Amino acid sequence: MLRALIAVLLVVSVAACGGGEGFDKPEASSAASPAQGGELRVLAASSGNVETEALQNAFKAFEATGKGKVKLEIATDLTTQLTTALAGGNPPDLFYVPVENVRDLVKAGALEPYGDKAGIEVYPALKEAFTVDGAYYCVPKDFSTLALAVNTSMVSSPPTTWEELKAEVRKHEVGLTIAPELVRVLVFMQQAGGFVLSDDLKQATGDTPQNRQGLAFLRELGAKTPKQLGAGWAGEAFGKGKAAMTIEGNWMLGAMKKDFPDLKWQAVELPAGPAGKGTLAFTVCWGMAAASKNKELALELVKFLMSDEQQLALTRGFGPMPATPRLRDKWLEAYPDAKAFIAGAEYAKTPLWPAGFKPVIDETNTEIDKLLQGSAKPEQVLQAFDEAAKGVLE
Amino acid sequence: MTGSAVPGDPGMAASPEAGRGRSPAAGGGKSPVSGRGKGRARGPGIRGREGLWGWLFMAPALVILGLFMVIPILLALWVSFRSWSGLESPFGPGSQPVGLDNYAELLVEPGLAQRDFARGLRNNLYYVLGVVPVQTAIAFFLALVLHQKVLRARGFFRSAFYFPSITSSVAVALVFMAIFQPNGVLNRTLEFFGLDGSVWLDDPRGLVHIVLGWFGVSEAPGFLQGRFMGLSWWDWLSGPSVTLTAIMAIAVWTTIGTFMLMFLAGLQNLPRDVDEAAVVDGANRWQLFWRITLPQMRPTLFLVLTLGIIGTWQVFDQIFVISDGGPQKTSLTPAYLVYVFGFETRQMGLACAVAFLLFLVIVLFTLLQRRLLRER
Amino acid sequence: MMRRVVGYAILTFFAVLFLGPFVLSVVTSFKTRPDFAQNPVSLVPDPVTTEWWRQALGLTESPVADVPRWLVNTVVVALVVMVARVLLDSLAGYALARMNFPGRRLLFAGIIAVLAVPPIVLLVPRFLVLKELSMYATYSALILPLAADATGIFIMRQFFLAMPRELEEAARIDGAGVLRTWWSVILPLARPGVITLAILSFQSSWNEFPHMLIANNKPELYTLPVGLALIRGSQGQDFNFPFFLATATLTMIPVAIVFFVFQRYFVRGLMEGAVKG
Repeated sequence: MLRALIAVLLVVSVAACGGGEGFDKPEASSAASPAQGGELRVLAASSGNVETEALQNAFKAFEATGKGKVKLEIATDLTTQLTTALAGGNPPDLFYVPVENVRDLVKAGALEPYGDKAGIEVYPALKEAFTVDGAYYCVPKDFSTLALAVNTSMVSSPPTTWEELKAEVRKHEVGLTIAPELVRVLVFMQQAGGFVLSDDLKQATGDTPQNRQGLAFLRELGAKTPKQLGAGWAGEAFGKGKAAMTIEGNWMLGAMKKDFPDLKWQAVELPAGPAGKGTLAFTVCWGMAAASKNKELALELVKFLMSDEQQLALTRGFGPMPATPRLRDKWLEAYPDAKAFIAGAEYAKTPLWPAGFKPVIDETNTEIDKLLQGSAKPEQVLQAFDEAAKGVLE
Repeated sequence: MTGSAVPGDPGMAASPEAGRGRSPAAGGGKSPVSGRGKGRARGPGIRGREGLWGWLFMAPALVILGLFMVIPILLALWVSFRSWSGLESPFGPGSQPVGLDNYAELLVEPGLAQRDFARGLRNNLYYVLGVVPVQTAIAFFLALVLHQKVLRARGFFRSAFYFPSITSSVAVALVFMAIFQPNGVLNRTLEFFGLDGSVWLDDPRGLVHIVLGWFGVSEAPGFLQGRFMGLSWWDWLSGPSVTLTAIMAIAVWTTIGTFMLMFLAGLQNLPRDVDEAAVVDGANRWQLFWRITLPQMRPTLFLVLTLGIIGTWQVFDQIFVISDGGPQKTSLTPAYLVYVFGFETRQMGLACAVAFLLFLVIVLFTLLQRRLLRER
Repeated sequence: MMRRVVGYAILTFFAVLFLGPFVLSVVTSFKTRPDFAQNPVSLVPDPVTTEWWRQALGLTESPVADVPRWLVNTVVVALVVMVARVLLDSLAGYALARMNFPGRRLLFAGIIAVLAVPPIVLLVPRFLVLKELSMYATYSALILPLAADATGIFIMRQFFLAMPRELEEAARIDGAGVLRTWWSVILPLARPGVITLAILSFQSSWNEFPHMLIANNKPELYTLPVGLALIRGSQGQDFNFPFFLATATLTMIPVAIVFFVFQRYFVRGLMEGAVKG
């Protein structure tokens, strides 16, 4: 009997400890394993099966070169997972870094500045987005811009100016749905000639006449948030025909095809405002962990993934555009639907935030939600931004 | 996280533990909670090297509790006095001692952290004031109904009422998300009865503000524009938002079962002869309840209220799944703020400071409630 | 008579209120998305689809999420935690109830103090400890912190206190050792307590959410509640309620079975505890 008890206790402790180790072994040993340069861990986010498969195929192709192995992890919540992985002391070798996170990660010393070493040609604006204090940290893998998605069975001629947009919106019960986020509504401020931060990221410039004008115009449009329409995100509300138009990025291309294949829609450039056209660009880079034990191989993988062939393969079918300018025309040929997004690249601005800015964005989003629901005025939103930003910038 | 007393999450571990607090312990006290504290059992016990065996028996559990309960708490206390992003080593240069700065940032220094903490306190205060009385009242009421010996199938009903308490809070939250959708079950049902629904899970309007709106007050009157902890008095007095109220309803729904069982156990434990004597004296049902049953049920009531308060101050699961603290931060709670600071904005020091302040709030409320109930 | 009618009316009303959402959840998991959008209230799926259940059980080509893996993880975690808690809690509970050793009172006070700590306070620091121990995102991280709990120790102590001493004495006269007496005499006698503790442990670790959330960030180690909480609503993913509710139902079924099989222990354990007070 006693022996049985001890046996059970042993089983428990083995199951508890051994089980965990068993699962970790392949990774734990990877860094040390000398064979073929070892194994890389890559953390990525995915918009769905298409993107996941594209990544898997790319890694298989890399493994076929015999340089090393790649283990892919798909994050459900990239920012949190990256934080925990970095804090947990076992970061993946390569990982997606959305541009809004890069300055936080640099400040924490988590990123290896390998950008120049890679020697890959990308759009200058994208390179600049990942350059902090003169050091080019990581190579942008692709980028997206915002455009106006128009449901063509509801809208006959897509609007190209603010006036046309306003006229079009009036024809529908819900003309426009837009996510209550700064990185959506900023486009209206840009189109009015404003922005919320100075270019050196040191001054908050929220409450300006231009920005007020932009938000006042947005308010006139009577846009609804996706949640008000019972949808998880703007694309869903748009796909279900609950709004005639929305403002989203390249990912719409993949998402609409997947979730609403029968929808008749088109992406057009955002309507021009008093100061002309304006849109935002979002980009993600291949961040390399400063703590990686396999930086050489990781760099090899980045170079491989940024080859023309792989870039085209990796931007196939789910939206974002190659970061390399010479692939522009080739890509556009393959995806004529994406014309508006690539056109936006000419004048898009990448929103850059200093380290520790996330609470400011969150707070501003709260105010923007109030604006869209009619309980805050443009100046209140902008003042709230300035006040919140001041606390971080000082 | 461990199975301790958290009515907010449907873990029912709370109940037997709490119940047992007043049970076989020979030295058990008058009230269940104080009963816990009274050690006893001084007997011959097992002879021999009892000292050694005692510690050996305790050792595995002590290691686990020490590593994962005691050390974390000490570590959290230490971190709450530091500025640290959580990305670097806590012992490296990325982690600096800042004294009471984190606490000051939450309590007295104007800024985002203070305002968010104030919002969290406001929201959770309304949450506690809404959920605890309602769940206690309904649970007591159902226990009284189920205590009627004339009714049959009481076992079935008891199980039916209790079942929500033992299921996964995350699963339950998703089920209710489907129900609360703009085009979902609740709105359709309301429509059927000719009532207007709402966008339940994205409606930031405070209940008090809504009511004031009916009387034409839709903006802060002058005397409410002053601020306290970065939030105007008008905002403090908003009442819970529609969304938070929906989440409160889910919490009530989930926890009633456990508390009902506690009341039921309390009722079955009452001496019947007192009732009978009162009936002979000509007391009616109502008087019987107020004069006899309720006073006798005070220990159970005390237990249920305490567990309710402790649980509601820790609401996390439902917020995480349903609202992420929104809309417009009207469902942000201190517990959720701990998560946001810790894992989203990477302010570990602030996260730990919030956790300790929350701890303090819970202790204060429990003491306050204890006092109020005693004085009656 | 009137009293009975009113009584049943009240009970039925609340039974519908408490069970309705579960029924709705099961029914919705067999609905198509258009059907759910059109008739969310209807209790008859039209047409009936098993798509979501096949997805949840991993029977489709490319499932949305690896739900079967989550299920396996949850089963492993819940069972190991259950066994561990029964053993560790009853060892400790027995020591506190029946053994005289220096420091016992202090330890007991410590256990009570730990019991009073609100779990949410541990959210961040547990993560820190797990990472310092290099355990983060392993099965150990999911299991070990739950392997013993103050509540369970307390329950077992109370059970042992209530047990007659005569049997132990008899066993000792037979010359059995301490551990042996505990294993072959004490533990079997404490069976109702052990079963109650086992069920509570299983149920609470099966449903555990915050700890599983902060102890791991690898999808292959998700338990059902974590997976369920994280699949909804990140960008590009819309609210696919029929699938969510299939997964939610899958999450609730095992605990429901345990509840209905063992509800005597569930309910009686709770009741007896309170009644004896």
